[in-house]
Amino acid sequence: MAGAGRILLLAGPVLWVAGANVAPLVEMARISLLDLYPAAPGHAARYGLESYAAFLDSAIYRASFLHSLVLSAVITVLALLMTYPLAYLIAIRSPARHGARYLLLLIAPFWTSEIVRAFAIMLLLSNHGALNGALRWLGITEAPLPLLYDQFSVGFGMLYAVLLAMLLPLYAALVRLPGELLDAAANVGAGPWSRLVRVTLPLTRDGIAAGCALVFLTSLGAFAMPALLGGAGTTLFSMTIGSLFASSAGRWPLGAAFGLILLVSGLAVAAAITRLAPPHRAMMT
Amino acid sequence: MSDIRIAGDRSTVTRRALLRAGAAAGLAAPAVLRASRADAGAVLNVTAYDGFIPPAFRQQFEQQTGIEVRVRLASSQAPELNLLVAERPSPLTDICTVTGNRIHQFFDAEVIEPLDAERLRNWSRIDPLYINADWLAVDRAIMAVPLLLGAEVLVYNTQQVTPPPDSWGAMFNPRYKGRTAYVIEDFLQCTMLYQGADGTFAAYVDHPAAAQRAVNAARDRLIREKPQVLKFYDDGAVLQQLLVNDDVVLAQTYAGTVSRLILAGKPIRFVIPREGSISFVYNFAVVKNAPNRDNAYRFLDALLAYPGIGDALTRSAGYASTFTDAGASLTALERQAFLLTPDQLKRIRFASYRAQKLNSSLIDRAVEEVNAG
Repeated sequence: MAGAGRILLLAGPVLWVAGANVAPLVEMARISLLDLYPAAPGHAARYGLESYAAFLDSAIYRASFLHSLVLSAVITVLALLMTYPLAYLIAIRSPARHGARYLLLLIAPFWTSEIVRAFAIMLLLSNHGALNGALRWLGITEAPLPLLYDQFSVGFGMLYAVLLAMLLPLYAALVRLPGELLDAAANVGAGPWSRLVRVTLPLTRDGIAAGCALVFLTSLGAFAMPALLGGAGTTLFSMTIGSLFASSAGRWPLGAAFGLILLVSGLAVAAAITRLAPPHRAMMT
Repeated sequence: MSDIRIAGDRSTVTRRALLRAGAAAGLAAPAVLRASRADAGAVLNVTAYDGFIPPAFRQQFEQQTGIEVRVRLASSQAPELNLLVAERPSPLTDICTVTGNRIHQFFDAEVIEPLDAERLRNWSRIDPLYINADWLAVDRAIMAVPLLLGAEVLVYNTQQVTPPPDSWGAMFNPRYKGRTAYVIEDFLQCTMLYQGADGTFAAYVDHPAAAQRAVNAARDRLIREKPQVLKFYDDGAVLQQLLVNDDVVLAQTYAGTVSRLILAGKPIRFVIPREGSISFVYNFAVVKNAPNRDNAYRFLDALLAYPGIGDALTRSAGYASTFTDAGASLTALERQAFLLTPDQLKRIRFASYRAQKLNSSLIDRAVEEVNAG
């Protein structure tokens, strides 16, 4: 009886994961093999690998894909460099009772929609925006600087969008760091830099790996931020995929194939990141 | 068996009872969800572009008929068609928006059905030019109710673009490098016109190779001139933002997109360039197997009968209407913002419905290549 109850309780989550995550992917994989979708009435479906071959054949699509990979890697590194000191301050340097409050303050903006945040950044960076206004007020510039619709604005927006994905794993790793270890290192003469490189960083490698994997995957699939903040020269692969699904010429198979290529590539890189930085559980316990 | 006690309650909830309650809730869910189904009672589901149902008309219709009008917003034809195709044969919408050049495509895809024209009175309020248009009928059966006229225009900032442009070529003028914007799909066809090709595709119905060459030439031009453009946009609101912030000073768009800015006194005007522009008529069609077909006809009939509907549509959607009394109640500024002059009207050309399939297959592919290139 207890076994049956357990199965019933498990059934919900399992069905949810299968229905909401696995089923759409399976359907996308099926569509990626079709010759046409949505198909006209009476069209006999034909399966093949043409959509995957189209990716390999097209230098334009491959360039867009590489652009996404490189930008995601850059965003990941920048996010790590910018967020690690912040997470360190909150987890290690601030009093324990305040840490959660600081974290909450940083998380609060993310309760709003990504679209709203993108438009807020547009207002900030526009010709008549706050940043250009401040630069002119300070006499640094006379004419507004073009800050929108280029790589800078895309990077700015995406970096902001992925902040949380990096901050939370880093905070979780840093907050578990035993303070005695840092004290012991200091007692034997290790300076701040030495403590950071030889104690703190190695012991938070699992948080770094998790944050980097999450940020890389999030950046790779980002759509709203680059679509709103980007310009004609900043098209990412996710936007190319989006345009294929907006086509009425039956281009969904190409979009589905490209989507799966992006997913598999992203997962492979994420797996490599976590493999490069395995957790040091033995030292933590 | 373990029990779960709820604080402050004398009842005891056993695990079995909890599971039973969960199962019951699961079984009851469809009944609860059914309340919001597409065919639930006195409702009408309309897939329309922003402003295509004037608020005052909608309010009056709902009050007089008791039918709740539910609007699903669309912003362009291709995604709307994809959605309707995915929903067939049990659609979630009763009336959809279809442009004249796409009527045959929507019909062939089995997402719209011929109108029962006898059920609609007041056809005479629509300009015969549109009622008698060949794109409106399939096998002589009228397919939709023409409402608004959309025309692609070249919009410019009067203070920064001098003299006023009269050619699509202005978009390639180095003086405006990085200060232009366009919808790739639409500007590709404008570029075809600029390059002397037939952007309506009418000339290519039986000549797909020639069409491919013309599209490729326009595509290559746009890829080559990419530094000229600041932003590819899809949403009119984004273009409005670009113009208001002086990010762009020249753009391809639809006449209605910038009407609000002109009314607000911004230094924005539009022209139809001498090479011509592609135009089409927005229509309401009844969806095939519409769950509330009777309500759809009541809605369309009431729309045609509503006093001043043409100008009401123009004010809410921003486009010139297809009604015979179009513009009668508009102010001089509204006429400037919404309507095309007789000289401009002479320059417009309607997109060919006969070539729509060819158009979609070539243009969509070129759009992806310009976007990614």
